[in-house]
Amino acid sequence: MIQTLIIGLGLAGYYALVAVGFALIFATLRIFHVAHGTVFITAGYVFWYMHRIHGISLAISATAAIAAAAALGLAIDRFLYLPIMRRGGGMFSVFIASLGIVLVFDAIYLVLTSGVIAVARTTSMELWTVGGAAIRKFDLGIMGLVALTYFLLYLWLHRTRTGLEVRGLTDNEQLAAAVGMNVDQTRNAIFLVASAMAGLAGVLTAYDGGITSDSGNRTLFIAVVAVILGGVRNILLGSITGSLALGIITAYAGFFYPEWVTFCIFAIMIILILFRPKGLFG
Amino acid sequence: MLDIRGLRSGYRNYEVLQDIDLTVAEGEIVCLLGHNGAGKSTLLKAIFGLLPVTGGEVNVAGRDMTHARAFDKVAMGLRFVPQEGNVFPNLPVEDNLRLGAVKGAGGPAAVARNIREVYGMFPILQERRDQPARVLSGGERQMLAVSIALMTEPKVLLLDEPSAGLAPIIVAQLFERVRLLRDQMGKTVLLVEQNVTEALKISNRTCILEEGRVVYTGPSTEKDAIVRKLWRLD
Ligand SMILES: Nc1ncnc2c1ncn2[C@@H]1O[C@H](COP(=O)(O)OP(=O)(O)O)[C@@H](O)[C@H]1O
Ligand SMILES: [Mg+2]
Repeated sequence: MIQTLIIGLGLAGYYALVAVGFALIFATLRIFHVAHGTVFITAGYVFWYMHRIHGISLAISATAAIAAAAALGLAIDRFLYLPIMRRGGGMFSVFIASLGIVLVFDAIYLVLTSGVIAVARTTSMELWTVGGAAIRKFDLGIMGLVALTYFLLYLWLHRTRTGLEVRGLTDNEQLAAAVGMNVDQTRNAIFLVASAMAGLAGVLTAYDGGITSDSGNRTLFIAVVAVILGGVRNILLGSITGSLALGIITAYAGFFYPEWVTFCIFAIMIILILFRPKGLFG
Repeated sequence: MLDIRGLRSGYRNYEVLQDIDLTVAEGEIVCLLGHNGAGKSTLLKAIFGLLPVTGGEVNVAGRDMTHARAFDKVAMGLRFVPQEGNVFPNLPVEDNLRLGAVKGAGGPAAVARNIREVYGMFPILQERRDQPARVLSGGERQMLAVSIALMTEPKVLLLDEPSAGLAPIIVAQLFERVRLLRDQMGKTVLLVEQNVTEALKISNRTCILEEGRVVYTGPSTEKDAIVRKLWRLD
């Protein structure tokens, strides 16, 4: 069963990369950024298009895809969320706008890909056999990459000035403005960092199992449940624990009862909402 | 130092302040009194750039800063300590102070020096430097709130009811510090207060706000006149 566990940890890695960005944006700006899934899948498609279709090298394709994700996330905030908020729009308006982005991009990607799965990988996966279990080296790579990303994120939050500002904004938005913080600049940094991480996850997913036009939403919803599960009190810890739990659950559920995976995730979400109606993200 | 003329401001569809005229000279403490809802907090927020100004002007050290945003005003030497939510509750005391310095002109050395200076003034904050601000007592929290504002070495401080909810002895200590800010460091202070007696003791002049208008300005030594005006006994 170690095989399934490793798969679960690999899945947890994808969720964790998407979840932590979603949590960061929600905790600091109170935006329910569902278009984070669009950012994720856009990176996947850019990567697939460059690497698989045009044969551009892995490194260049991946870098460009992550940059595209960061730019898209930033643009969504600058040209959509921020103007709505400036004109006095509340968080519900922002959420509906975010949903609009999701639907528009879904439609575009469905048309462009005709609903066919896009797998960016051009070679087969290397396996490792440990005590009878076949483990994909790729899953181990993901785990390493996620650990590294989280470590860098920790350093960013706790050792840099921008990180300090992000923590201040999370804790007390009003005072953040009163101490003279340029909140717009800080939110640019938040969207860039969060979207780049979603982009990394998109690249890895496109490389691994491939993506279809609805993969973004699927991953985002799981990430949201992970964030609800782990809470945003501590962004890093909450996202990683929630993602680990869901990764392992989906891997085992997928192994034994694949048709029940979605059911499992949403059952967890409903139970959580039922028991913590107020402290959903607390 | 702070010169406000014909200021109008308020909230969406609700203009609270009507033609406010108010000056605070350099090195002066002006105390702003008025009943709940008179518009004192609104005035401080409007001066600081957290609310839209619909008329009049705000000059700081001779420069028109009416429509400057809060972070430009901090850079100009103006700081605002809000009435509520004036610390970062879940961050350690020292991170609170560092956040106070994000708009500071100097580098890390200046930040470290200012933190040392604040610890010299409020030793209790040094003892609690690694504890989250939410565990501080009311008096310590107000000391931290003022210290956060001191991190950029401001010229003008806007303090909104720093004594609210504090025990009398703590109020006296805190106000003594505010007095020293003026007497030893030459700071200019606009102090919103409910604690009339203590506020009059340390301030040079007093201003009374009623329904968004200035209804009295005079030296703080005129305690009788001020109290009568405040309680509408005239
Ligand atoms: N955020 C707000 N939105 C709308 N009206 C407000 C808001 N804050 C305060 N007010 C109103 O503005 C008036 C002045 O309030 P405020 O400046 O807080 O008074 P004070 O500080 O003197 O007690 C009050 O009538 C109050 O109800
Ligand atoms: Mg008030």
